Amino acid sequence: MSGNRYRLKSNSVYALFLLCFVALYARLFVLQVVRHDALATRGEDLHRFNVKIDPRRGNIYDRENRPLAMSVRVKSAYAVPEDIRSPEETADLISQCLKAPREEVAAKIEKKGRKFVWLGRKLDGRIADRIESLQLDGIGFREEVRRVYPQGPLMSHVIGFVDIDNRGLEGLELQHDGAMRGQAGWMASRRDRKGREIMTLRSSEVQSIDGYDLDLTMDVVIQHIAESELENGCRKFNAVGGCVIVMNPQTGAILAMCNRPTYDPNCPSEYPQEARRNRCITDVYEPGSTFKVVTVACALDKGAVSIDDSFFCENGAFRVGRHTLHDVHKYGTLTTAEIVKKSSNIGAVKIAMRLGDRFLHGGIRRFGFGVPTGVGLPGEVGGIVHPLAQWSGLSIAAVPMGQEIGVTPIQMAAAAATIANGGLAMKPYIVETIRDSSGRVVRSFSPEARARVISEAAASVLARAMEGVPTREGTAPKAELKDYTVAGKTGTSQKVDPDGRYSHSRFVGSFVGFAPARNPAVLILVLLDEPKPVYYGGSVAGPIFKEIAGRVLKYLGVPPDKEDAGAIVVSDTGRRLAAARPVKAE
Amino acid sequence: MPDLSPFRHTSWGLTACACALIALGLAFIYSGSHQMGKDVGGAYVMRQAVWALAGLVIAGLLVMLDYRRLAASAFILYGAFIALLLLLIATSDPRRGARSWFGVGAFAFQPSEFAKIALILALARYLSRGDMPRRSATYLGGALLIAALPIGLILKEPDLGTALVFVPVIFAMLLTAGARGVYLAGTLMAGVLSLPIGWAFLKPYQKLRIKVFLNPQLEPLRAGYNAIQSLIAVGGGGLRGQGWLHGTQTHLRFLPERHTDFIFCVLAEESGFMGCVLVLALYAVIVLIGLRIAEQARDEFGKLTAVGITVLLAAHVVINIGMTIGLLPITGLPLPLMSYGGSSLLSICICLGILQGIGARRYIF
Repeated sequence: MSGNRYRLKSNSVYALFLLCFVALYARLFVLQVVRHDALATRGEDLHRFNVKIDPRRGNIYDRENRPLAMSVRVKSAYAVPEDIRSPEETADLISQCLKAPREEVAAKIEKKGRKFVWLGRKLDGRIADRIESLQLDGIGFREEVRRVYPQGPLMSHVIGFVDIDNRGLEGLELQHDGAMRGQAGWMASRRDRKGREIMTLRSSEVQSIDGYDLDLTMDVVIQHIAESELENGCRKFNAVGGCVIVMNPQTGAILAMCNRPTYDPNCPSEYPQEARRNRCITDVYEPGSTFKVVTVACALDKGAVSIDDSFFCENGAFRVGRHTLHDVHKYGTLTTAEIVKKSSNIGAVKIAMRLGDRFLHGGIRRFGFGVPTGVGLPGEVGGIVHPLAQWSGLSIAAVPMGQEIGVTPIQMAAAAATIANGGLAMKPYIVETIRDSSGRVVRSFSPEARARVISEAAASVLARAMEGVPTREGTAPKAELKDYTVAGKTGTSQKVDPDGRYSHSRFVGSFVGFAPARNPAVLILVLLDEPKPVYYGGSVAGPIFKEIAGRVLKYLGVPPDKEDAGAIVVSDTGRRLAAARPVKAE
Repeated sequence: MPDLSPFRHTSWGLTACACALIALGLAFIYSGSHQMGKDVGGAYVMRQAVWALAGLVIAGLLVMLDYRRLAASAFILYGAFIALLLLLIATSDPRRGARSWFGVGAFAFQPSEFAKIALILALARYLSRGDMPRRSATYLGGALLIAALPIGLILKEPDLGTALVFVPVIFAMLLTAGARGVYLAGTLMAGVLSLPIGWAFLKPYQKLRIKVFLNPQLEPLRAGYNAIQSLIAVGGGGLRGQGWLHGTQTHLRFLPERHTDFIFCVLAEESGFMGCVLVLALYAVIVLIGLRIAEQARDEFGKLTAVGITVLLAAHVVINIGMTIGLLPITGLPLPLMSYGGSSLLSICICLGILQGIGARRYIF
């Protein structure tokens, strides 16, 4: 073998490897220098993604800073169907963890071409941890904020609720959605091959801003008292529904507002829609006799009658046009005060006739009927007050006793509060302050007197007259309190049947009253929808009022104003409330 | 007292390049494995370092050993590894698919890595015998027969990558031995022509790998995944790289087999084109030194063995890097000296030890 020959062959081996190495170098140059940008971008697309950082939705607190609605950070699981390697196994495991039907999960993760499918939103911490520990391909987690209502159904109609994306749907959640929602932030992050986020590679881009908190005028304890008494009352009198409003008549601050039926805002979809309605502001009813205080107030204020004027009550039957008015009991001559006390229909109509329909209509409007009170809840209606031009000859015999007129419970409570506080229409309100997450007050609401409706003198003589209602001679002896004087008015109205006639079996029984009568700390309206077999307001709503008023006044530490009452410890709360005076109207 | 004189004539350049590559390998094994589940990267690096030390010791012993004594036992070694490969096939469980290693305690021993050396020695022994006319077809046929047996067994394992590495090795050795070019070309042609027949014998996953190589977008999330991810990693490295321990494809675990077969991707992503140039240059130096040792070898067995070993090494480098940068289909072939794995590292150290031994004895004529 010649050396030359070997050299040649050796050279061809050299050449071959030179060629190979040159090819490697060239290819590396192409990939790393020429195509670097394109490939790097492709890589970035694989690992980089933006994470939306949900803001904390603002909390809602009651008067004593007790939480009513809170936000908790939880995890939601999602699937990226095209990244799932073994759909069968994944469906098995996920359905086990979620306790969901296997087919349902399988259908979700087999959606070809979909980049993102929710598997479970806002999961229980333990369930989320279990799924996460499986480390499945194509299954990811996102942190979300879940709304919780620690008080459950308590105050549900006022608080409202949110949808799965934390948008307010009802109540204060809807009314103050913009303030409580906050602002989402964004973060850039990276994920690994399995789609799991590498938390350490998060970089903050836009900070999220937490939503504002609400402080309410409402009180969990008062609400609880009101709700439990309403519940008992509804059960006892077989009512299909009911409302209770407790407010401070001096300021218009709502202390409690409840409805039956009710629901749990933690799972609103499990309740029928009618259970979610805040009847206190959305339902219009004929107020019946409670409305007589409005009639009398207007007449007293105008000077059309005085509290001691006598009216002949026609022994129970009074013909107006083609219609005959009746009283429940036959009365002869009654004074204005007695008409209120005994709730004489004929007397009330005679007082209104003295006032005249123009002034009656004007007074009713001044009391705020026909327009929403602006209590600050969505869905409030204005009720029905027909324009004077549409009044018939019979209207003057119907409106004064609360017929031919539609009011909401909140309107009736607000009107009674006007009488209780000396004639000022205080705008009812629920939100005291709006604070940011650091506690700085963003907005605060103070008592607002909408107008002076009647003179202080008229209000005080009427209130005195109303003290006669919860007595043995009045219509609501069962509303009488042992330790406090009560001023109030009963109402019993017939509901309207589908044929447009007054029903003889379906009634609304109500009572609105305040105590202590001379310096009221609370005003309470109680309304029962279709109580049976007893249906008189004094008999059904009166006792509920009594129970609520007695317990609430004690809770507030209001000193008893009856002489034979036992000593009661006065708390700070009570002093504060007693000191609260209405703001003067201009 | 052992004879240390051979060390005087070994190539220190070769030793330096090999040690540099082992050191770089350790660094990128750490990077490629340090986030893996419960196994901390350090554990892999420690094990690989132990193997490297063992490899250096063995290589040193082989330098001292006269390679002609290897020639004497070449066929015995060959026979022993054929037996081992047969044993492996007999004991493997067909349900569990590919198996190319024996479990020995905590270690996995891959006979095919060492069978490569046995085959090179046996071929060199056969081709260097003086009693046959070099240009005869029988001479060539005998060599192909010797090669066919282990290759067939390794294919049966199945380990296509390792089997393919033999092709350039055998041809380089035959060419060097002086086999007739026409015959070689004919064999090559026959091989190419038989590819469609060979296709029928491939396992489904092997066919898929080749299809995916031809069109990586075929199954971007399954079979084509590794190819695409490694391209993104290499390309993402750019000119200067993303920095050690900072490769996104590596550390976000998009890269497959980061510390073993795809170690070059980690290197490419983290040290960029500049790092790749350096590493390729180190390999090139080793190959060039190896070829020079072959040229200067004092006998034909030495020459053929040196050529075989050098080409084996070069083929591993080219095929492994070629697959990570999309020039060749993906086969499970380690990158010599850098990939994690005891069998591979030890076998390469043995190869380099023999090579140095041949080089050290070039002046003994």
